[in-house]
Amino acid sequence: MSTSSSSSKKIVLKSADNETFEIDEIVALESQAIKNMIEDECADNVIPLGNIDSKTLSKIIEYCKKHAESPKKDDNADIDEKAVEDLKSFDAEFAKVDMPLIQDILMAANFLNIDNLIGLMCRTIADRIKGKTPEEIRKILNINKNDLLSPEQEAKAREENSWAFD
Amino acid sequence: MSPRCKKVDRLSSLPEKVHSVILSLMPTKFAVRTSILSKRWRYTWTLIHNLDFDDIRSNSYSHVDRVLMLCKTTCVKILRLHFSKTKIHVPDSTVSRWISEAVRLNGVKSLKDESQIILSKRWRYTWTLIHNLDFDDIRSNSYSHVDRVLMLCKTTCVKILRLHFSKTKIHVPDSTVSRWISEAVRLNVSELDISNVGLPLSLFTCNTLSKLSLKLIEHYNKFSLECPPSIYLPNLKTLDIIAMSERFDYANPISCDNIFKLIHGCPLLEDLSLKIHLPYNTEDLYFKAPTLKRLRLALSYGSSRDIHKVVLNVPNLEYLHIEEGFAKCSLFVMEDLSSLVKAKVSCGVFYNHLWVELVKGLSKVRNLTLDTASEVIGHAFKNVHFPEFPHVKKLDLVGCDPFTLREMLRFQILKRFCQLEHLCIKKEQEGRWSEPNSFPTLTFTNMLTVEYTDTTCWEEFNTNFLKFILANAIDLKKLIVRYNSDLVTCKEREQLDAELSMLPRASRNCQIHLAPYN
Repeated sequence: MSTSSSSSKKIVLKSADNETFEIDEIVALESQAIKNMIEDECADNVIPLGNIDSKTLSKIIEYCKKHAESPKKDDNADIDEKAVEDLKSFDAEFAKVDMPLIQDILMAANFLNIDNLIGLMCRTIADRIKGKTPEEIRKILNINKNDLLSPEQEAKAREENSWAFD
Repeated sequence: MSPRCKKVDRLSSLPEKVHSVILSLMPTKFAVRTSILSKRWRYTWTLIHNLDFDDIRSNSYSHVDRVLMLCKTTCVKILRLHFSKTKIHVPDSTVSRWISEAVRLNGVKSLKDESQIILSKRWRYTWTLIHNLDFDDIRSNSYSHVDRVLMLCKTTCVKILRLHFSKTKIHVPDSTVSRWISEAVRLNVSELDISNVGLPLSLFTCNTLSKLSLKLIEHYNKFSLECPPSIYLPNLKTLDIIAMSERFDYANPISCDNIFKLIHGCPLLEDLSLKIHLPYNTEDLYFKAPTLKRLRLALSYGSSRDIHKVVLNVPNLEYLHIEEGFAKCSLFVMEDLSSLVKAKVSCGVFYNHLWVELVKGLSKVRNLTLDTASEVIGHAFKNVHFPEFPHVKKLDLVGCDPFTLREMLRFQILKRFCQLEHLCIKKEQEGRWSEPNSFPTLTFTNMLTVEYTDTTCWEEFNTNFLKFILANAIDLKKLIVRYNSDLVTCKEREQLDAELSMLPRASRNCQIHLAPYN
């Protein structure tokens, strides 16, 4: 992969804190949003990503690189099991980061329209909040205290959905 | 703590779609629990598209109904019902209702492959009790699932069978489709929705059928509707036919005979919607249907050599809609429309005298909608035969442009509506507009409300028009003026407000409301 990358077209991304990342076009194509820009020929120079910081962006590039290198499911019906397993364990490792970063990655993936990554982050968040108490979830998701329901509203919601709180 | 922790609740700024994905990845019970997290999360769970009930007990299963009812998603992807191990007594009919509801929310996807409905062993085949069969994408290389479903379906009463074929050319043999429909007829089907296929004979005497939707194409100088000698559909109340042909052959014109034969074979027909497109018109159409209450007609012809007649003899008709695409050369003969209350004419016109003939036949209605988008209608107002509408209380004019409205005032058309109480005008075109020479004054004695909407750029014309109305409507209670908020700035709006409030009013009690329509 590394040999082919040297000859291929490059795309430069610039993070909110002005760090630039040069990546292969094939890696950038993992993002549907960037793909559209390239197709519309709006990606000649640096692509500024004013709402993504460098820490998040480097994580996203790490993910896109790995997924761009892996054989796609629809390319070939019988891709080897090992590649699938490999990608799975990569994803699992990739998701082992703190919640704030997960949320930043999810926001950025949503902005860049990277379907697989959105799915991975959603699964991660779902796994971390599943079965937790409301207090725990509020803490995990850092929910704004000003947005909480009043005690009466909460009581009403609990009553409406009492079956789920048994 | 990293500085990012200080930012609050970033997840909330993501689209609801993402929240629904997260909440769909856990048992539904946990998703519902998020309703108390915060205001933002109060109803987010109703967007979930996987329903996963993992512990249904005999003494508590009403929540399944509740969730299905509240769920706002239009596509349930997965429905999983797992029952608690202890002996349970949820009635089969209840489970069948849940599945039907989920199938309704999902089109056919879960039906096509019943394995997507993940049930515990006991419920593995409960789906076979559903009574709506909805196949919306039948392809030539995959239609065996229809047979499978029909074979496995244990219900004795199919309510709806919908067969829609994928757009690519298909080669499902007519005989196969006939077999499916026959099977549904045997299962007492009440609604059929079928496109482009031959129909089995058994269908034409089906006595449970109450609603039939057909899409016909041309087939050997006829529409693809092979009618048997006798048709008797004693319960059919709603008939919806779309028949299209493009073949141009003067020697062998296409006849609509069989369509009328079908209509006449329905003794209780109340609702008829007929959309026919032919390359050219050939024959007079005669509608005689004593039970019909609502009729929507859209007839269009590619070319029009001769004027042909459309005769309506429908004494119980309450609502008539002559739709867009209507024959530009049809002469309407209204033999009997004595019960008509509401009519809508939104067809294209070719000759203004034909349009005048058409609206003449509607002179007894109370509620009239006219689409004036065609320029010919401005000229129709000049026609000396333009009728009186002494019973109309509410008149809706849509698709208007300044020319038509000016002609309407010039020829005192509103005078013909002597009982008019509510006038709604929708100006949807900008237009050539020359100063009026001054309109003949006209006193409206009954007019209570006028609603004037301009969907285009606000024009000087509007003010002139409204000035005329305000100066002449002595009983007017309310004038509602609606503008396009994309095209009118706040400042312009203020000016407009001031301008309107300055206009002299003939009625003392008249209020003016200015509001965006969008």
